Amino acid sequence: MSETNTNKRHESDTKKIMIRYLLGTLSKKEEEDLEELYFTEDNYFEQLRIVEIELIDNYLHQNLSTEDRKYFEQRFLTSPERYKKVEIARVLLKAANEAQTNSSISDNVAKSWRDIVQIIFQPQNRKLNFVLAASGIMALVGGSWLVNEHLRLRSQFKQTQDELISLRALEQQMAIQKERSDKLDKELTQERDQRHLLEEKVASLLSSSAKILTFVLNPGLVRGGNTKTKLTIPPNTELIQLQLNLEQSFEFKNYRVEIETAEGKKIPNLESVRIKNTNSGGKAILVELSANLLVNNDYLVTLYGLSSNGNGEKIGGYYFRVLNK
Amino acid sequence: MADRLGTNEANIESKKLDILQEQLEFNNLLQWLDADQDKAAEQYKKLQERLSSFFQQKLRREDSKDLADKVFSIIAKKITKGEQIRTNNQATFALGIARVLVLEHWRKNKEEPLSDELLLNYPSKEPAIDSKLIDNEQSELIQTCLEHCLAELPLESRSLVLQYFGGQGQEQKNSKHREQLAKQYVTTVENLRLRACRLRGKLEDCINKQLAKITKK
Repeated sequence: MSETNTNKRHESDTKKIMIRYLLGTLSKKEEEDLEELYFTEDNYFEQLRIVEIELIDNYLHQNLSTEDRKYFEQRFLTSPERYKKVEIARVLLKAANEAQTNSSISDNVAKSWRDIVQIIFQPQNRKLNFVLAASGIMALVGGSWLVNEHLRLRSQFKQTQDELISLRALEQQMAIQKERSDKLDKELTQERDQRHLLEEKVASLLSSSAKILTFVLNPGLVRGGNTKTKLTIPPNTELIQLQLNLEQSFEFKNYRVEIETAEGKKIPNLESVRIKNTNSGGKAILVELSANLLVNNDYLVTLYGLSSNGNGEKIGGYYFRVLNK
Repeated sequence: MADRLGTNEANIESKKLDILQEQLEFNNLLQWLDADQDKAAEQYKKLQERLSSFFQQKLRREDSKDLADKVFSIIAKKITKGEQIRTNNQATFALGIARVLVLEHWRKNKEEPLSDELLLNYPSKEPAIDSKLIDNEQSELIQTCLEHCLAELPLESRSLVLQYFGGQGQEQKNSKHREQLAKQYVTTVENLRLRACRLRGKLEDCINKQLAKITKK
């Protein structure tokens, strides 16, 4: 018994300290001790939350002393979050009070009819005349009907109220569903946009990676002169196609091309030499080479016609200069 | 066009890296809280609640959840950087960081708690927070959310909450009311108090979530 009392006193003291903490009236040291307790002990934190609920309720029920009320308003009610807590409590207490009042009315109606019946049939009142009894019975029948009717209406009212709550919950769920669906739509659109952007980027990269530049060269331009063709090759170019226009038509089956720098250094591995008809009705030889083989320099292109026995005959010379690479 | 694409791509890459870094830091934080993932998540939630309560108590007009996240972020960065955290209790460590944040905030805003003397002798007529922050519209919203959240509770719990918190008023009346209710529920007043307040806590969480959803819209 004594242990129970001690526990109760301890709980009451703890509650008081927690209230003082929430009202901001503890010393710094006491505050720090309490904070360490509620950070490390689950029960303590739960108790603090309960004390907070009760403090708010007491404020709303005007159960706080004038002094505590001041502390509450100036030190507890300091953030919108706390203000919201108080407002939620106000709405909840109002709803709970209304529910309680409705329930009490219903109980009282039922109880008052039970009382009347008891009074009529009490032993000391047996001398009451039968008229009273008869009217009592009539009243009882009528009253019972009234009570039943009242209870039926209340039950209907409660059912309607429950349906309304369910309806609101349903509306809420639909709103949430719609929100989710809108969000998904938005995400899908974003996804599509992003994919479109990526596709554009890929296409752009593909086109730039396959970039081929074609330069048309005419024969006979003098080596070292100012009239030589100048080739400007952009940095992302990979392949150069040289179109060597022929001065006249030749009957060679194959052709060979040699390209060398002004210093006489030959460019190796020239492939894909083929003949092409030009727009002006003449013929040209096409030769392809990797762009990285050409640096800023002057170049000489020599074209050989190959006879059926493989002998080469020089049939043209072309000059060009690579700039700004 | 190519330049713009390049810049966008660089931005996206940078954001991706930031997100990856945050994920890494968050994973490290959870690992620090507990090696078991479920326990770590539970621990995280508990700590967040305590930090939030702490900041609500200490600072005015601040979002306590944002500040709680700030504490987590600081710890996560420290762990990821490999700083030694010499503590056996993560909660106490988090509390230490939270205290530093409060001090910094007070220093920065030149704000100090009002002294008792000033508060009691020269009280402001207005509460610290403008009551207009919660208007009728907000109250109606809370009412709607409350109805929704009450409907989500099992019938017995709903009835308990309404009975426990309904019909209260003066302290003396409250005490009698609770005793009667405890008899009805065949339990002690203290157990009933605990059950009712836990349910109320759940209701408040539910209302806050609903309000947040509506506000987002």
